[in-house]
Amino acid sequence: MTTAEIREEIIDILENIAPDEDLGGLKDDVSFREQLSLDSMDFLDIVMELRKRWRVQVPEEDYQNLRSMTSTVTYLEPKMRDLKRA
Amino acid sequence: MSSPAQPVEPLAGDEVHIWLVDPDAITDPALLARYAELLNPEEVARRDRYRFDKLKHDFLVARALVRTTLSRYAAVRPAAWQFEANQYGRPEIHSPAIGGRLRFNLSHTRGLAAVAVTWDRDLGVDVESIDRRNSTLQIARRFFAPAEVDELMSFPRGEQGRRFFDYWTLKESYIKARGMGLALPLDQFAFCTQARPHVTIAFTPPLEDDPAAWQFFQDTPSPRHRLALGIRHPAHDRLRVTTRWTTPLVD
Repeated sequence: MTTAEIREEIIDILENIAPDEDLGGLKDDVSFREQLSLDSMDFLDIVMELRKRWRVQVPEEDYQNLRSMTSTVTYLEPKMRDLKRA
Repeated sequence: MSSPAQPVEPLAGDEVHIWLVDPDAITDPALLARYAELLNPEEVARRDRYRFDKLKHDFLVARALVRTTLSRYAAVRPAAWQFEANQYGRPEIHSPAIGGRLRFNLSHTRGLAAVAVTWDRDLGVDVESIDRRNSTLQIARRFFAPAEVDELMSFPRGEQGRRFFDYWTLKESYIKARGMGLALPLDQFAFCTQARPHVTIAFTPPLEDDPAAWQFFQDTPSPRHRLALGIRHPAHDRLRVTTRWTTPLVD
């Protein structure tokens, strides 16, 4: 997957978690918590979805990397670059 | 123009007060404009970072709730409170000095914000809307302590989705009282919600803490909301918790 594809996957996961929110103008360098009011339960959902969809494990000590879209994609790129989207 | 300081409300040493507001019920533009005047520049910037008017509104009402609530207990104008965050981002009162250490914790969810206050004890409050769309039972199976999963799954299937929020709010209240966020692994502490007369907590190494040092309280502020309060109080006497609804700057 390219970084653009990883970003699309994250958007898809966020749309399921926060269905009322239009993610079109999401700022990649601002934290999800501050823009979308995502909370701890939402972050655990993201972690679980990554595991379900792509078998990507995010250990607790790495949760802080899921702060914003930029930090999430940077963190996931080495774990996901060899994966192919269906 | 800033609001005058309100009369000081008594808060005894063994008391915790929880104030609740329904942000959806506050629609008066003049009142919301008064709330906006209470914010400091950092809060204004945080409000403006939210992408949706609904989130901006909820944030504004929650900050007004915190500031006006603190001003019930000290002769300080709501706009005058200054806060500082610990290393995990948890806010505390920085100034002004009021002759005691007033502690507070805020939680908000769809349709409800709550702030809990007490003197000089670590405390955490969590409110959740039980109609939110997360994969609740999967989160429990994956992240909760085994004893909690067993207890949760022992309830009738139709109740489990609702019961999940009892555990979640308790776990969040403890995490928030410790001031550490998800840096604290959720499977290293387990609540027993069926213990009598009160909810109990147990810890699993490497997490070291004393179950007897904590008291927990649960409430159902509305049919669609659950609330839990965790507070460090290593004594036998049970703290007295009072919960009240408010409209900041009105009542």
